Amino acid sequence: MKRFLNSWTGIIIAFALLYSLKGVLPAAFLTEVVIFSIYAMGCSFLIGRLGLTSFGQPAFLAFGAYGAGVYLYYFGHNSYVAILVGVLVSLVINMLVGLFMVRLNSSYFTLCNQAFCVVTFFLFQKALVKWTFGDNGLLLISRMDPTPFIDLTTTKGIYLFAFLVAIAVWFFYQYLMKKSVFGATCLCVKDNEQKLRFLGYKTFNIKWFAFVIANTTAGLAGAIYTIYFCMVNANIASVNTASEAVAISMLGGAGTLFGPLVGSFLFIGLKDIASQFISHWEVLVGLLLIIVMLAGEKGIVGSLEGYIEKLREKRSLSKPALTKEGGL
Amino acid sequence: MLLILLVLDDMGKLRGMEMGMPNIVEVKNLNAAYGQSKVLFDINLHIKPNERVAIVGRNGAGKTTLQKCIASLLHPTSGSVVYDGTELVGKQPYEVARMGLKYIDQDKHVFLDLTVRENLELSSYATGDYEWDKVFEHFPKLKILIDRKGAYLSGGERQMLMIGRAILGDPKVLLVDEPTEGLAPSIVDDLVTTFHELSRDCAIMTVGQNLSFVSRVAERVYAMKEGRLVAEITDEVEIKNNSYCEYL
Amino acid sequence: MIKMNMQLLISAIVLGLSMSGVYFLLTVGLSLCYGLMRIISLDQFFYYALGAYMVYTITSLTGSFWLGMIGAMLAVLVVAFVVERLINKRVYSKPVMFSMILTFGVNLMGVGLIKYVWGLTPKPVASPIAGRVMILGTGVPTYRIFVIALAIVVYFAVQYFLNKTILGTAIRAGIDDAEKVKALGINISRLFTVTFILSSVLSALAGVIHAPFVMVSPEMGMTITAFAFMVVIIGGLGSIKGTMVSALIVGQVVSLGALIWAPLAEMAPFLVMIIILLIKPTGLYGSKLMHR
Repeated sequence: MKRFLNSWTGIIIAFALLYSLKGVLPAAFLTEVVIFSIYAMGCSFLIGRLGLTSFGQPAFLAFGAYGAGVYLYYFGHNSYVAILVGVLVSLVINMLVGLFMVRLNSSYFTLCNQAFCVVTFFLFQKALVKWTFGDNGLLLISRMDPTPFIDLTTTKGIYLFAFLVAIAVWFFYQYLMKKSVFGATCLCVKDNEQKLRFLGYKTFNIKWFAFVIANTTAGLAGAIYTIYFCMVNANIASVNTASEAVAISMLGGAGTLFGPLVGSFLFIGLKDIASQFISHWEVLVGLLLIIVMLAGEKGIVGSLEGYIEKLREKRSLSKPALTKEGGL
Repeated sequence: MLLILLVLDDMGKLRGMEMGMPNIVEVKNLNAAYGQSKVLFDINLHIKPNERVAIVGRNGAGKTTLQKCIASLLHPTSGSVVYDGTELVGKQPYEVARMGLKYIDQDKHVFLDLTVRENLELSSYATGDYEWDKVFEHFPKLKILIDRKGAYLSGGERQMLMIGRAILGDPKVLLVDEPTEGLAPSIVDDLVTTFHELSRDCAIMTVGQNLSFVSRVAERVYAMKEGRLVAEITDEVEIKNNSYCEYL
Repeated sequence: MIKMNMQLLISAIVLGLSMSGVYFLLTVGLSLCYGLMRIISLDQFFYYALGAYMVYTITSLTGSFWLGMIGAMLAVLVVAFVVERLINKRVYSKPVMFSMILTFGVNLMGVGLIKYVWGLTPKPVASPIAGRVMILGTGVPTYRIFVIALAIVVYFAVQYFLNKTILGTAIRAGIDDAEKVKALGINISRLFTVTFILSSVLSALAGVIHAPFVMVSPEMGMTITAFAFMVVIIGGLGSIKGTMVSALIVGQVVSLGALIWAPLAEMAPFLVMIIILLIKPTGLYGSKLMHR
């Protein structure tokens, strides 16, 4: 079952199922879930596979979002290109920032990331207000042309596009985490970095590369957000939402493949339902974080995977170790 | 008559009279593991009051793990440790220390930022024992170094301090881990004398690989190999000859 | 050209010093908690905000700021005790990341509760000491001088506590090697509780004395977070002296930076932090214990 879920077809089927829920659940909700899960994927990867907790994810989201937004507002009108620009901007920023951040140990990394997020928010809200219009932001509806293949200016189009991108991202991370040597070395970095260095691996490069990948994923999500909302303002870099990315990653299971998706679905769903009763979402997020951390960091998918492993072990133990023919 | 008694005492034979007394430490079927990796297998041993016992074994045999389990600094997966009639497994390490069973680590790490005085004060605070004279009796040098910070003490002085602060509170059992590591031979000589003096008041279990030290100090030796106790040697001659190394 | 006159400069320096005082009170707790318990206690920001809100409420009810100060510290003492016993103590032996996320959760919950109890609108707290004092020909609010004096008193009090009392000695020993403290016979979890409560009360005090400077709002914890982090990182976690020094630096950078170019006040500490971290990734006084 687990192997099926983690295979290529498994990913496609999972997303297809989700896509088809369009009749049952509001499309806006599903779109947001998918885009957010791309965003959370990067965060989850960093926490679960590298042991680096970043409370500054909105900053990386913002660079992608503003990259796309600024392009559409000042330069061109093609949404595809805008997304590409957003990703490129995010990539360059991450490469530079990563050089600095990755040298720090995990506590300082977290603190610095959060500080970086505050500064980024300030940057977009006040310092660059001449170009970004701060809290009012850039309104882009009039500046987006219909695009070929999938028309990103329609809700249906962006919905489909988000799903396709998500599948692509999932394929990428599936390869990264399960099948590549790089993914394995990331886990080693989390476990015992010193030992890995003694073995001759350049852990700095590994961490930097992973940082860039994870946060560019966030940038991609940001760019798609801009297209989806047809606007971008400083709120996207707000520190308040930093905890959401972390909460979702932990809830779903940091470092697992489907964790961000499950976490996203549950969290956004919970928030939508709960916000009708509780006016302050912080209590919910905070409580969630506390519960998840006290229960052990595995999260939902992580615990499920662990449970399935135990079942498989039990089943294989009950079988006789050797058959009459002398093989396993 | 008195002379004979004194001589007998020196040779340790007087302690034979205490063989009738119950063991001060009784370890039964102790097992321990680090995660999935099993380290101790069915350890059974005992320590008599005022006895000097040694456990010898190679690196990684599990000697430190064993001592830490007895002192409740690590949790065994199964088994029991009875000290002076009380079960220790499950107790907090500070409770065990206050009951009079003290563990002295091998890393000779006294608190670097604290002076000798502050180190002793901490121990006094924990045990309620402020009679430092007995510490200075065994280690007169500590009195001179009383205001020096731990970071500026030599290896031998640190070892002295570690033992010195442990004997406050009149413990009945000292678990000393690799005491001679990194120490100059003359200091080791002093340590031998110290151990003999200390054991008048409490039992000492020392673990290590320094066989010559063991031969001069121990009355009984356990040989440990890969997490198991493979031999118990009580014969004096064998101890002095280190002939038990074949078990390792 | 920058028009810098003496009065403005002195005013800014005093302002910077008073900010340093607030930063120091807030971050000394973070530093101690990390040094002894190896946790990053992000819920300190909640205690800071709670302290400010408590002083607002008590002052509104009784008219006395000083009563409010004491009340706030007592309230936070109780809350911190409950949080430590119920929640924090479960993650002491786990990697630092656990405590970061956990205490962040506590912080968030706390902010939500504040919003629920006190609402969203910022509340004003009047300065308890009116009037100005002349320093080198410049009028400086007396209250700011009081804040600076208080911070200095607390600094020496903490140093005295750590160096001259047995409990403080035990804490210093625990920061060095917690296991040996256990082996000596000291109940270290009680030490942890005391340290956590001390840290939290100091954070509350920071909130109390900061309240007259800023409007008390639910966001105040978040706003000051970045600066507190910069202080802690520049000074190095685990060092009280380092915290004091870097609080002084950050305070001055913020206030003098604001003189030159207003947005600089927010960005400057960040730049200083980057520069220092590039040279020494563990901060100015960063202890050698920070490898993970």
